[in-house]
Amino acid sequence: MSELVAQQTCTTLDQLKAGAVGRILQVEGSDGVATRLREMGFIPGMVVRSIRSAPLGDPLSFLVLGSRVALRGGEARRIRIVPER
Amino acid sequence: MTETKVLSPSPSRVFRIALIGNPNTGKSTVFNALAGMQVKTANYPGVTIEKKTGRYRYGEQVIELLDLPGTYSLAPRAPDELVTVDVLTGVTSIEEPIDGILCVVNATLLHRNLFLLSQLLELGKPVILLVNMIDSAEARGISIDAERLSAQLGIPVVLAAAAKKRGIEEVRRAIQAILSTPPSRHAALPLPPRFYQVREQLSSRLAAISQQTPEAKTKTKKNFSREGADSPNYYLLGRAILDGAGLAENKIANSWGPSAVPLLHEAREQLTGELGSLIDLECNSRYSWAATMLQGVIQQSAEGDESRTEWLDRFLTHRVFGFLFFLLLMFAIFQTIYSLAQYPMGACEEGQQWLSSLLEQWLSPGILRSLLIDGVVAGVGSVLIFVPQIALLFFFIAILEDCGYMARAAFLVDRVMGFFGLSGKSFLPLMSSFACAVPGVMATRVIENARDRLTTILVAPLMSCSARLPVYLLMIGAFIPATTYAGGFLTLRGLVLMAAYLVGISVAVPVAWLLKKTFLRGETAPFVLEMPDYQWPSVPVLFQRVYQSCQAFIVRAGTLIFSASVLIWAAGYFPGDHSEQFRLMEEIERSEGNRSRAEVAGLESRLNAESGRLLEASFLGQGGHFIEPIVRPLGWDWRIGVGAIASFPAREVIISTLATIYSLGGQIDEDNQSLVDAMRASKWPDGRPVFTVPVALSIIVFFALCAQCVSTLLVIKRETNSWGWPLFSFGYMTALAYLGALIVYQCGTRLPI
Repeated sequence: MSELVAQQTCTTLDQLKAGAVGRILQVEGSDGVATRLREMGFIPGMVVRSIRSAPLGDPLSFLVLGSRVALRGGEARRIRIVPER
Repeated sequence: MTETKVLSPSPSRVFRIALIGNPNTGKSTVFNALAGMQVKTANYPGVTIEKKTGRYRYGEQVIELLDLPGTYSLAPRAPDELVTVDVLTGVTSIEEPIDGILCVVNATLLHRNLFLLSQLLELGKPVILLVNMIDSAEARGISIDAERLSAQLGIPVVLAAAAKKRGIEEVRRAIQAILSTPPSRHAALPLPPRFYQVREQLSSRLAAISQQTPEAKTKTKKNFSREGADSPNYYLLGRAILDGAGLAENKIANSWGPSAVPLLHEAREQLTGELGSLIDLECNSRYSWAATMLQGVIQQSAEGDESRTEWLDRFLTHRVFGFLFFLLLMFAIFQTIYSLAQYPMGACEEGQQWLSSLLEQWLSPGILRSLLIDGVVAGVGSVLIFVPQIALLFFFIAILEDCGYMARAAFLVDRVMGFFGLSGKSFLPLMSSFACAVPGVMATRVIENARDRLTTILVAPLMSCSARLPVYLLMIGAFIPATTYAGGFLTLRGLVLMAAYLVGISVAVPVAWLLKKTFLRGETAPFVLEMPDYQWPSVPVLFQRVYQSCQAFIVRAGTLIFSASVLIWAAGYFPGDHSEQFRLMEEIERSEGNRSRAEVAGLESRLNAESGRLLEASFLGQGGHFIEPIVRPLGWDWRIGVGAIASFPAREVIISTLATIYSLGGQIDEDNQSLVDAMRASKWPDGRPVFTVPVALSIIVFFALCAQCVSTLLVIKRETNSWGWPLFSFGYMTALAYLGALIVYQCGTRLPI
């Protein structure tokens, strides 16, 4: 049951609206970018808040583990999340 | 310096402590607070990272601090990152072994920062944890129980605010303590026990093969000395298992021979089979270890209201205001650099003239005087003239970086720079290259991705620097008619000047794009950029950074620029017989005040004619004649050819060179009408004028695109640590310049204007 709910609401980090909060499910891939994201704290279970986007809509900034991290849409799309609340 | 293996403090032995931490932890401030201003910088061979060392004395003991680049992780993915791992594990010939590690973390971001600490603790070296910026944490109502953290980690923990010199004495004491009594054990192992078992098995299997093959054995001893269970080299072995095919695996293969690789793969597959994805395993384990270590350590007294940083970010990274502020700030910075640098630059030029006239009084005309004035003084001057701009630009860069704005600027312009195939971090170096490519290339140090940095370095000299302006002004003033449009609002000359600036930019876009598709192709650089809390920059660190960049330029690039200037002087001086020239000079100098003006003018014009003849006969002039067939298609005669060759060291030289060739003497500037007149009057043997509008335009395009600046090329050499890239820059820019000038001239002469 809970898995079904997760599947229905699961989205990617770039879809998170400014100010909204999500919980990370998974970071896709095992290349350098994916590793760097994990090293910066984007790991399953971590709570992320979307802060805002840059003037042309990209990159996006997020709050994770108390630090503000900017990612491009392409990178944020690789992080699967469940929106909170 | 001879190092012994004895680990007891003695005044004769210098102890070495590596300083490491995440970016934005105030590591430079800690370094500065510990070592003061006594800092030495150098480059590690083959890579672009800077090696920064400093020393301080504690009682009788001398401690050497080694500053390592800020990093989030000790998993090397680029050769530059491998250097850090090599230095820490002591498996390298480029650095003496270290005795301990000082890990600097940000008190407000403890959880994230402990990720790196968990890797450092596996190295087997004594580690001290310095929790920096404790004042910022306190201001937000966060208190940290250092004793508890120390007990949980099993290593000394010091709370500090390096910018306020708080906790520095305690750090010194803690360093001394671990050096005199090295800790017997250190902290828990953050990864699952199974990982360490598999690593141990792999290690013994590798040891077995090294025993079988004597060749591998000696190799092992040399590159990979093993010192027991806590040997730091276990770390690299673990990395080779965790990282998959990469730098650590290559290093293992180099040390143990190719037969090690299948064993390594076997260990990796075994672990993956049992525990799943190894990246996930590592990162998740380290973060949950960090959470365990922090249990009961952090107390948040009150839910702090919106921090100063968030409040500022609302404005500074706003879609509209943020961007406007950014543009205004850049404009203000470059205006300031441009206007402020003029005073010291003017003083530098005046000093040069004063020294030259002093030398003219002391020495009679001759080769020594010519060498000193035209070679040495002009050479030193050409180095010093850049220093004011470098100092000012780096002063602003240091402020922007240290206060936290630089990351926001990169965030704001990243999308725009994406059109160039570059990232937001390339903006500032490219922008500063419009003033001068030398500080621009040096400013690329803010870009940590090696390929982005190299692309930026390679296109930076295409930005139209201030030294091109006199050339543009001369050509435009002499050959472009003063037509005005739109009721005098637009002038043709102004439009051509703007076009000259646009030539460089519009060529830089496809060049950057091509470079990223060919030589510098690779995985897209991740734009994972931390935006730190805003804070006041530390004044000593600011001045140290400015001082270091000026010093690096003067000492390392300056010596090369100076030598190059002297070489060009020699090419313009030899092999002619200068006795007639010197006789004329002496006569003019002796006759000052006691001959009629007409007589002196007659002597001067004879001297100018003689100087022109000597230049034509010199190696430089011979070169001009030699390349005449090559520059003919551009519409140039041999004189322009010589001017172009002579201005390869510094493009503004073309004006004085053309002036000399047109027998006017060296003192001439872009406003001097007589050079313009001489150029307008200049004819081919068949009577056609040499300079036409297409020729002037082809010269402008050539100068806009050509790498005519030894200083820039030598700074590229210094920053890339290779001769290949400056040669490449020189080659591609010269080729583009020739092609551009050719197209402009050939089209210009065919179009019916």
